[in-house]
Amino acid sequence: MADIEYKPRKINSGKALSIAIRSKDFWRLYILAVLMVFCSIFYYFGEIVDLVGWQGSRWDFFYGIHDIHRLLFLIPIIYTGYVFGTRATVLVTIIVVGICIPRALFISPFAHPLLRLLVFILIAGALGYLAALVRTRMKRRGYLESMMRREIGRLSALSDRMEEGIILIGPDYRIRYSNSSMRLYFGEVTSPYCYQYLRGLDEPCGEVCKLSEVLAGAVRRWRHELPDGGVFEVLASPYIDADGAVCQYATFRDTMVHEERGKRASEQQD
Amino acid sequence: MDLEWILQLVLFGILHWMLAVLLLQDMASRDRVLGGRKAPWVLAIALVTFLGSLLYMLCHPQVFLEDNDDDNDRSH
Repeated sequence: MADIEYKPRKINSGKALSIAIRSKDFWRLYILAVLMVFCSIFYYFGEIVDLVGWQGSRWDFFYGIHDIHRLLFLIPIIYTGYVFGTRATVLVTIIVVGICIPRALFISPFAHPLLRLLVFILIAGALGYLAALVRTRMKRRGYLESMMRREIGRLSALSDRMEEGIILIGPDYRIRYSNSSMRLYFGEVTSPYCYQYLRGLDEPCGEVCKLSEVLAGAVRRWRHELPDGGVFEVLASPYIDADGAVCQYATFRDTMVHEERGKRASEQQD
Repeated sequence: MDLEWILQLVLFGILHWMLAVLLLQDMASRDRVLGGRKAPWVLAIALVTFLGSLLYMLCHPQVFLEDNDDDNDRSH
């Protein structure tokens, strides 16, 4: 076998940039960077005004205690927790400490600046962590729900391919599920109740009905005859549905079809 | 050296090593880093307090996407 030489595909910088811009993560990081820059400028606005000498922008608000200005950093921390997860939250919280610490150590004329910064950062970090926790749980829930939907679809497809009719009846006589063979034998489910659908009655079948026995845990087998002469072998057993209710799970086997098949098989053998 | 300075140093130390450990862990799991060699980055992160770590994060923003499993791509 000839060796295949692997040549890495070269992507030019323009193409790489366009791929990056189309990525969701690029915009998430961009928003985080913008938030951090905005909060930092807001936090040090008084010093920036002094440095540049913008006399018109000397508002008292930016020369007061900076605990309120620091609160703005809650936005990028909680955003990071919700969008990126736990590790990124820890990183951003440490970066915020790095941004805020020069003021606490060298600029602030107020009492205990470092202690106040530490209290804020602990609370902000905890909030960011909680946001990350919410995000993780939401993602996990979404993943489990999609898995469950996929499994339900798979099981439904399997039961639809079966030759036997399947019907699930709740304790209130309501039909919870029927497969395609069942609908083929008895028609579309137009009535919510089993006695209306299977026998055309207006009330439960009375002594013939095995629902209460099956719900009590028994497995029952009987023959269900149709007015047109069709006969079904029914096997009913208890089943606990997703809501915890005990239901009757019944399979309907068309005996005519099976008898014909049996005859044909014996004829072929002869 | 008074108590306040000692506390400040301890605080810096804790923050620096928290950051360093997280970033070194990230680097260990990464196949490629900017510049191709990991050793200079290890030295920068461990020895240049905050600035080394900040530079690494700027050059490798994927650090933030570590547990973001939507469309995480660690190669660059």
